[in-house]
Amino acid sequence: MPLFHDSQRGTQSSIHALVIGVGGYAHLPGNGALRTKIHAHIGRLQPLVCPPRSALEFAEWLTNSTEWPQELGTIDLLISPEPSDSGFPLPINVLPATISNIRQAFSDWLDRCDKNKDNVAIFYFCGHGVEKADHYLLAEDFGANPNDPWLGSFAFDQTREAFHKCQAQTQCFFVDACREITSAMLTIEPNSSALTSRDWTAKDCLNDLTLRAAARKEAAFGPKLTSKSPGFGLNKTPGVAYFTQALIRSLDGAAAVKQGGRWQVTTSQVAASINDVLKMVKPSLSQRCTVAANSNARLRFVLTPKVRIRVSCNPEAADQHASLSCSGPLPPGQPVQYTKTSPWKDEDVEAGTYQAQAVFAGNQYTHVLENLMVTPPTHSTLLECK
Amino acid sequence: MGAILTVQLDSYGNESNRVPVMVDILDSGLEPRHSTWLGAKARRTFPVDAGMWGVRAKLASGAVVEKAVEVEDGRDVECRLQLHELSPHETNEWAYFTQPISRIDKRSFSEAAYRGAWIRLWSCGLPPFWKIEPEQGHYLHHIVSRDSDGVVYQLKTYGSAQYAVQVGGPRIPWKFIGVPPDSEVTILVRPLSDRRGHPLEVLVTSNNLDGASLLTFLRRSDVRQAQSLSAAWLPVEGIRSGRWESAELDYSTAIAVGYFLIRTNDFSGLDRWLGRIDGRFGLGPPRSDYAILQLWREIDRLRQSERAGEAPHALYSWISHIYYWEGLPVFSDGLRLLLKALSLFRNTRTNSVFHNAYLNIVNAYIGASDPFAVATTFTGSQPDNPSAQPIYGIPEDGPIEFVYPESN
Repeated sequence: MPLFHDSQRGTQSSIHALVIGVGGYAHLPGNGALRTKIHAHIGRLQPLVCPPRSALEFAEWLTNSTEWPQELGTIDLLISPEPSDSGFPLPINVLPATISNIRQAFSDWLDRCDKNKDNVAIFYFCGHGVEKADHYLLAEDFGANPNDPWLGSFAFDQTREAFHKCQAQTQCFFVDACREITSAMLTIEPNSSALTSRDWTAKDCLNDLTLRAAARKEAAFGPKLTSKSPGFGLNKTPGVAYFTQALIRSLDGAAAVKQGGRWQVTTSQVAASINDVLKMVKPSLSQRCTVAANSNARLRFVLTPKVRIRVSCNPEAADQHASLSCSGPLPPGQPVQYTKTSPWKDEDVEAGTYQAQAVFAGNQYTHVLENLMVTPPTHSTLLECK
Repeated sequence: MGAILTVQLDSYGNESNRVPVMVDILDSGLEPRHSTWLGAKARRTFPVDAGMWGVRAKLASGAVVEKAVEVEDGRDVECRLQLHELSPHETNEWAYFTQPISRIDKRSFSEAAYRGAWIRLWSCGLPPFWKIEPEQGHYLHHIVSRDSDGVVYQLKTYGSAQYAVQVGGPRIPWKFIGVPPDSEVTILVRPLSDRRGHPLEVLVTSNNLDGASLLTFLRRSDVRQAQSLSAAWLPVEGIRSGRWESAELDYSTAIAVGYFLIRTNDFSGLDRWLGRIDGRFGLGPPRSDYAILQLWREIDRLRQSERAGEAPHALYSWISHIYYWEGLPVFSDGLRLLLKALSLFRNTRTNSVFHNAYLNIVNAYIGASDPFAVATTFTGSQPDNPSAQPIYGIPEDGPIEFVYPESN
């Protein structure tokens, strides 16, 4: 199969990624009698715009990201765009995310990852998901066989467990999909299987990081994007699902800690902070990720990360009279001055130590000066104003 | 030259000094220069050079309190971190410090939705057989505090059984929360406005708050902190005595350390751990989480043995032992590990009828459970009958206690 990215590194230790985005579901909503049969299995699911854009965003981010312990080896990218998203720029060497392509790509990816124990295996899926005894992820041709639509899906839980047999010691699985159970599924046992078989003698890999966008029985979300929205089509940046945004942000430094003089992102730190980063991406979102990590292994070094900062006054009434400024990071170098007259809400600044100041025009409150230590992912300070 | 930086953690709960808090002293480039566990009321001095320093306190709940302080040569500085501000009451501090508590909008027991909220205790006998404790008052009358935003109970169970707390109400779905077989257990019941979850949050801990914190770190997959905290309990090679021998090590902490070792694939460490604590926790009333530690030690042994082909049958006897004698895991991590063990042999030729039946039972618990809770928490009318379908009302099959009687 053609690869979206191939550095031709052979058996050298490398990062190997399999990235899947499914938005165009050819048989959803379907038509006539077939639609009725499919709905009987899974309810009224619709095609999606976000997943192809999210998968492409993740694959391109991965291509451009640096400072991983290993060089990037390969990215296999499977995308099925939503048909009305006609301007969506599908790159070359991208195959549709049908179940047969997914199965073949998974098998090839497993082989590539298996060649060196120092490989980093990355699996990413964005598309429809439902959950009953397993977390079922739906391929483009879900419903191709209306009597057994589940043949167009795979069982993620079993797949993840089975992949532990792979030699790659670092394995990252990211799933940006819902985990709800539809009422239609209550009476049906989905006929869906894993993408590979399990070897029960295999222990869990040394460094596991498995993140899911939603908790059990809950949904995952992305920005609403329709053919009437600005940015629909040619501009592919909008429409990336919130979990994917949070994931990229975490790997870019929102989940970084400083050790040995460098900022680094670790498996444990990503798992522990992904829900905070998700809140940072979309504060009003009622979506909760579930995480599993078994180590604190370094994933990559990053430059000084950005931190979402909020500075306000206590009591709240002082906010409207305050002129807030913040200088830093201190030391070294030239102070950067940020000034704003209202409470600072969700500004991104570099991690570091700052000096925050609240100055009041009238006599209601006295000026306040406070040192801040701003570390990822977020920082919130209440300046005590008297 | 330099100076002394004194860190004072401020909190007021009776048990706060037993709450482990990771304190980092960061230099101006945010690099940790000192990292240590302190109690939540502790005071500690650190020698530092002149300059800007950061002091950060991290709690198992995920809360972080941090401050920057400027230190001048020869002038000692005190930095106070007000941890008590994280909790609305000092009696609730243990929960706000050590549990994965929800920090969204609070509610009040005075609101109509919480009228008639009740609580009761079930115990698990041999073989796993659940019964409603006839003397609810014996256990639930010891109320540490009763506020409109949270009620704290202290249960003295003397470690005689595994228990489950059940809560519900006319407008509150019934749910169960696992209670470990430790001699003293503290419970916080609080009203919550969480559209996604249950309107009552119930948090449970034993007296050892290291154990509670460790279980929370595992739930949040914060392996870095879990590793650091569990190191204090694990035997050190060449040293014959240690904290694992002390009375401080209770059942919950012993299980938490075991679950940490399984999480990090340290099966030789698990074998040594069980070897140390078998005499204290291996016998007695149903102790399903302990049996799950033993099950995973057995899985690891079978993986390495020449009898690997017989493994499904050997595991079948272990799993049936848990099913018939030990009952429900008290901790969510135990439920997860039980499902993982069953899933290992999903497609092997074991006694498939039993295997599938048990897999269905565990899946039913998981389907009805709260994925973010540390203690196994699930909806249903009976401890052995989890159900995702909500049940409401006042039960008539046994005694109850009202959480926040109208007179309050």
